[in-house]
Amino acid sequence: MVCESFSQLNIGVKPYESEMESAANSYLMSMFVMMFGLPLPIVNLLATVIFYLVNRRSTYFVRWHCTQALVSQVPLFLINAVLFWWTVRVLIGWVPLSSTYFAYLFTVVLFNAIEIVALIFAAVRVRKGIQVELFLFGPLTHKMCGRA
Amino acid sequence: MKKIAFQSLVAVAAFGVVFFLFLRVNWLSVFGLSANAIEEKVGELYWNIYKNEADFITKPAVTDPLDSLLTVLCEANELNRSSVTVHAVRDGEVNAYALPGGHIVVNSAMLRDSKNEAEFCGVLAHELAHVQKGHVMKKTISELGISVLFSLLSGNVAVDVVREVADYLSSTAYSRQLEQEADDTAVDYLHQARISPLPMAGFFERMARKNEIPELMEWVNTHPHLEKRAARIRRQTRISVAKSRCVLSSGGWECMQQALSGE
Repeated sequence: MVCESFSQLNIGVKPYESEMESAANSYLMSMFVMMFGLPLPIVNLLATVIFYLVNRRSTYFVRWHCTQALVSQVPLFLINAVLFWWTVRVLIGWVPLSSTYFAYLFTVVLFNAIEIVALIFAAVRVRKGIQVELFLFGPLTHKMCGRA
Repeated sequence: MKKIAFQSLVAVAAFGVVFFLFLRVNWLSVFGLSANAIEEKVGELYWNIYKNEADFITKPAVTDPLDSLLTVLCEANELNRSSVTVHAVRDGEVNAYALPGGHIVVNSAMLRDSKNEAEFCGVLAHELAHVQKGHVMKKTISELGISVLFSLLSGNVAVDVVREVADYLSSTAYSRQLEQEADDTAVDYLHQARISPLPMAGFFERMARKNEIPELMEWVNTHPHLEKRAARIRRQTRISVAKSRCVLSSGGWECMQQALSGE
């Protein structure tokens, strides 16, 4: 996680209060859907996509953070989807319960926990007006928003 | 772009390292679970309710021969004998079926209708194959839905739901693919136990011929295409009836049928 000034986004001035609120909400929304959207990982991704679509015509600052929230959901969606279908297959007896399954389960839980902490951190900092770029997702977002 | 590629690699590597570290632990031992823990749990919960509903035959003259036959099949095929149980119940329908948790239920009419132990061994091996191949859980889930499984696991399942599941498992057919797999596996089990599968084929053919008799309809309904399957079993057979092994002592099967006639 990296915290930087707004000059990094080429904004120059501190965003309006409403912009900071919308940007912080994108992370909070991702986090809550992640926590309550399980066991269907697609729900997290869909909710974040909808939030992104609603805000895509907003200011660059809001759009940037909505994009980062969306991008950060994609890898989690993939690893959670694998876990979800693996769990279903174990439950219906297609594959046996194994230590490998538990190892994957705990790895996914750990990465989900890290993601939740990162999202809370990002929401709090962005709400205070501090720019936050998450590891890997920050540079990806710059690439996608195309104005760094 | 280099930064993104580098950070992607770091993220993937971090995931891999954490996964690898978690893999070093034998979690099944830590939690005291077996590979089939889900089926065992479902079977246990299910059986606790089902056993109060069924009319079991407990006479040793009936149950001992069944246990002996099952033991021979399991030992010859290196199967875990303690994970499978065979039960005899008073029921006028010619039927045998497998239930979750490794329980094989045989109706008294099925025992009466089997001419000899080799015929019955074929039926038992077929149901044992359904248990060993996980067909019971597949059928339960694929047809009744995962909600029933969650109900069973949570223990909040109503008695009538369990009765419905039992009725369903005993009265509907497996898919043709699963039946064929069970037949093929049963033939292997019988060969390993040095028992000829030909009486099993004969039993299928007799059932197919008698399918107009109402009490035989249950077995025929749940085991369709009997003639084709009998022909397939005959093609796979490697042990003749003359070389087939007798598991029970001389007259053992007849003694069991006599004990049944008093029921």
